[in-house]
Parts: sequence; C-alpha cells; structure tokens
Amino acid sequence: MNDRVFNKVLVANRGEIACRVLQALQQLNITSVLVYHEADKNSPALAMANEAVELIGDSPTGAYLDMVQIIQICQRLGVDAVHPGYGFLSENSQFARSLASANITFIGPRAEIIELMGDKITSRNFVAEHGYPVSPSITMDADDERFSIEASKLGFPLVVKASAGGGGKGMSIVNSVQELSGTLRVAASEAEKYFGDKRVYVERYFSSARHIEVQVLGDGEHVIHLAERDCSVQRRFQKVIEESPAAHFSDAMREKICKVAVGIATAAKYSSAGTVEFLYTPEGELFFLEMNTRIQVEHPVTEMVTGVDLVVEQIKIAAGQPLLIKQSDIKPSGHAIECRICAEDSFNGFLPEIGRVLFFKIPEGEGVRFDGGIYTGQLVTSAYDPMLAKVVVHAATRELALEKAKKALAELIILGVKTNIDYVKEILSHPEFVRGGVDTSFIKNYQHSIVQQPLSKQQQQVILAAALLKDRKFSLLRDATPSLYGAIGHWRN
Amino acid sequence: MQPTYEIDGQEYIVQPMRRNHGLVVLIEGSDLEINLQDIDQCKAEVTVNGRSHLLYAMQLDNTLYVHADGRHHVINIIDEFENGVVDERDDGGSLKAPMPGVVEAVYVSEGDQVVVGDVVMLIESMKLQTEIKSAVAGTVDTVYKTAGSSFDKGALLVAIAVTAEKS
Repeated sequence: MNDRVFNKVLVANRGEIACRVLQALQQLNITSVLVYHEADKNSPALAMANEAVELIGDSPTGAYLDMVQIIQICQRLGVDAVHPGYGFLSENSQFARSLASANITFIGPRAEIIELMGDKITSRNFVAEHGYPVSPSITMDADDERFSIEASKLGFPLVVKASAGGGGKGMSIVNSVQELSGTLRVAASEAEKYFGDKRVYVERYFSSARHIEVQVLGDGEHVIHLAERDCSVQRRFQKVIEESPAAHFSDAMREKICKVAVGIATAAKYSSAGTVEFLYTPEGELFFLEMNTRIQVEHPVTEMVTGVDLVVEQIKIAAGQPLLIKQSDIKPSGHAIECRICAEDSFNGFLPEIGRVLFFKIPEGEGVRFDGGIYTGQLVTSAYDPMLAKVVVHAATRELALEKAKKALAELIILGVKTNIDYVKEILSHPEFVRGGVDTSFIKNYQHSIVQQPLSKQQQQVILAAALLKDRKFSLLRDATPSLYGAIGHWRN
Repeated sequence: MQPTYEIDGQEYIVQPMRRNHGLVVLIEGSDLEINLQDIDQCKAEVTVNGRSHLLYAMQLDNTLYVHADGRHHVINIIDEFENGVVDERDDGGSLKAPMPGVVEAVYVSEGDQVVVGDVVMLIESMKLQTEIKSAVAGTVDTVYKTAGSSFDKGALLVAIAVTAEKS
C-alpha cells in the first residue's frame, strides 16, 4: 500500500471551488499553490494558499485555461499534482495527458475515461453496450439534409445537444419541425465554439422527468456510491437547488439507480470522484444522461448526508491510495439542500446581472454551510459564470431542512449586485416544492406563482425612509442647509 | 426638489415636510416621522412613526442597495436634473442588448435589407446564446458592434431604418 499523499498541489481554479479545494489541502497538510488572474487578486482564496502565482492573460477565462502556463508554473514550483476544480480544465483530457507527460498527477480520472465520458455519443454507446438504459436518439452532422426528417420521427419535443457538451452547455429544446433549423444553427455554433466539435445529437425530451444523479467514488478497482441527489430544479439547464435524498423516491428505486451508477463506473474502471446523471420519468423509466468526471458544484449535499469529504478522497485516490471506505460504511442520514446563489435578475427572465459586492453577510449556525469565496469590492462581471456562492443546509428531515434553508437565505445579505437569494427563498416556500413535486420543468411550470412578493405598506415606508436618509445627495443637501425649515420652501416648489 | 426613488419599476416621492424630533415626510399620502441611526457603515436602525427596523444599506452612484426584513431591494435614485433629456423617439429599429455579453456573429452589413424576424446578430452571455432579431422591416443603418466585442446591458447593437410603408 502506498500511503504517500502529495507534497505540493496546485489549484487551477478560482472562486468558491478554489477555496473548497484549498481547505481540503490544508486538512491533508499538503502545501498549496493557487494560480490566479489579476481580476481575482483580492480573492480570499489567495490568503488560504501557501503560494499564489499570477497567470498572465488578456481575459481571466483565457488565463485559467492556459495549460502551457499552468504546467510551467507547476515545474517551476515543484508541484506534484493539480486539482482542476470544476469547469475550466477539469474535463480536459489533453490537460490530463500533458500533466502526465510532465510527471505531474492530474487529480481526476485517467485521460481515457475523461474522453470516453466527455463525448456524449461515445459515453451513451458505452453505457448501452453494458446493458444500461439510454433514451432513444439520433446523431448526425447539423447540416445533414435528412436531419429534420429523422429527428421528427422521434416525436416532439426534442432536445438538441452538442456531442462534446456537458453541464447544460450547448443544449436546446425544440417543439416543432419549424424550430429545428434555427436551433441546429445555434447548437452547431455553440458546439464548435465551446467544444471545437460540430456534431450534435437529438433525443426525445421528457418535459416532466426528474434529474437524479448518483455520486460515486472509485479507485480503479472498487467503486462505491454515496447515494443520490435530486437536481431537478433548473433554469436554462443550470441547476438552482439540489437535495439529497430525492423526495418521494422509493428505497427500491434508490437501490436500482445506485446499482446502475456503480455498474457504469465499474465498467469504466473509474478512479476518482464522479457523478452519473439520470433522467427519471413519471412512468418510472430511468435513462442515463451523462457522467461527469470531476467534483461537482453540488458535492456538499452528499458530504452533508454521508459525512465523507469528497475532495479529500479524490486527492487520496489520485495519489494512488486504495479507497478505504466500503459501501457498507456509507449510511446517509438526514436531509441536505443546496441553493446556488447567482448574480441575476431571477424575477425578470434570469438575465445576468453585473455589479460590485459592496457588503455581504453570510449565514451561520449548526448544519449551515456556506461555500463562497466572495469578498467586499469584488467586481461581478460577465467574464465568469454567474454563480457567486452556495448555501447548504443539513437537518433531520426534508421539512426541517427547508426551514433551515429559508432561515439561512434570509440571513444571507449581498449588496451591490442583484442576486437570486429572494427568488430561491420563494421556491423553497412554493407549495409544490414543499410537497416534493419537482421535475426539470418546475421553474417553467410555476413561473407565474414563483413571483416577487408585493411590498407591504409598512415595508414600503421603511425602505423609502431609509432611501431618503441614506441617500448621500440628500444628506449633503441637508447638512449644507442650516435649518430644515429654511429649506422647506425650496423643497415644496 | 422632490426626492424621488424607483423600486421595481415604480416611482415614489418622499417629500420632506418639516422637522419634528425626526424628519416628517409625506409618502404616498401619509405623513410619517422618520429617523435613522447608523450602527456602522452599512447597518442602520430606521424608525418610522416610532417603530424601529434594522436594515443594511449601501449606495453606489445612483443606486441604493437595501436589505430589510429578510429581503433585498434595489432602489434607483431618480435625479431630476437628468430627467430633462427626452429620449429620441424609438420606432423599434434600435436593437439593444437585453443583457451584458459578447457578440458571437454579425449576420448583416450596413445597407442590407431586413424583414421582421430576420436574425441580425448572435450574442452570448454567460453560457447562453441568443439570436437578435429585427423587430421591423427596413435597411440596416448602423452595426455598432463587431464579432468578439463585448457590451453592457442596454447597449445599442444594430440600428435599422424603418422602411416607409407604401400604401
């Protein structure tokens, strides 16, 4: 047995996930190196890292994707492994291979597994060959003339996906044959831009299915599951709320889905933390969606119900240690809910918002976890994903977890940029969500009842009083006026 | 001067009337005595007719961000001196950015004829691609942005001169 863990690990990411990985490295007593772009130079992640090196690049995103520069930094500083977080280089097999040839460990699965699972078509075929369920679909070049005829045969609605896509990128829904050509043009453009691969595939879209995924850990020989997460509440294919266990999900179904996930990961000889995503239809059918070969945004939900530190396990596995946790050790308890906090105008079509964090205050308490990395003065721009932080809660039951989540969101304050905090609170209070009646169309179906509460007369008066008395222009005028009486005539013109 | 504030698209006038113990103001027809005690740079206690409320408020330019009673509010301070500028009458030919982002592709050139629904531009903002379509029939007058350039919410993307209807 090899119990060597790394001496020095570089974190090739930013924001909350950089902080999360740095915390795991601290726990393992591993020296950490953080690479950062100038735009992130005030991030609290820098203070958490033992060493921090600036990445030179015109755009922040370009810098975090600059493999050559990152590998040079690794070599210069004597780094033995790189944790890619999620997004950026986390599912880039070329990066994994380049690191390997420089004798640096990529903290994630082998490059071949990233390639196998990273391509929607090859992963679907792989899963189907092993006897696991995939939904009916066709694959073609977007400009093939027969595309619309073949696609129509599947029946509408359909979902068009970029073959190399994932995480909700490069996907759109088509309701009729007329919409197909425009959607294909956008899909092919997105596919080529994001993934350098024009192939798209079309499959039947299940408008009322649930998105249920299973967390797995594998060391190349053994694979265990850490139960499921329900991530059905989504907007624009991006998850908003995740929970574990899934509501109204029978033990038999849980056993089945976890067994399929372990089967798929075992067939791939999976070695790292990974997630197998499924669609679960109201008819009780289960279809493989995709496998994500990285740590996921919503991993804290699983950590809170199982007590397993997924990032620590991921690092140990990458260092060649066998997985010491047995399936029988995993005994999920209670209920966890994660809310993604994003800079957006949720009540107005989820349009992205930009701004500057002028003030923030995070929720605290037992069973409340805040994964953030936000800081006062932080510019929120369109350069990155709009997610700013995550609020995760754990309680004995779903009902108690909902109460705790609502309380935590009421305590979370972010001033200076519009966020979805109040919107998510509305979802958590929605009778259908409370009942556990979630599916991927939840936000669309209930858009008319997930609305901003009107201001009460009292709230209106308090806010307007504060507005006047806090308004700097008014204060200046008031201070410059010797007597308020003297100015009344002027005010009342 | 009538201090005017906009919350969720609705404008309110907060009219200072006189000074009592606090300041007496007129809001939506009610006379209210208001007071504010700063606790720190952000936190304050606001009193309205003797009832205290704890809140957090920060101002940036003409926007005030307030958190009160578990809710966030964005308040625009209306500057009456800026209200004098009359917007050029828009006949629907100006296509503005619905959100900040980057131009992916431009499908038209200046002088091109377009009809309603023609896709003139493809923009991308935070993973989301959106087609910008013409709302009018006419001639492309100005293309303000080229592929690869970024823009803020509300920025002019393309201007189309509306073709006069022939009867």
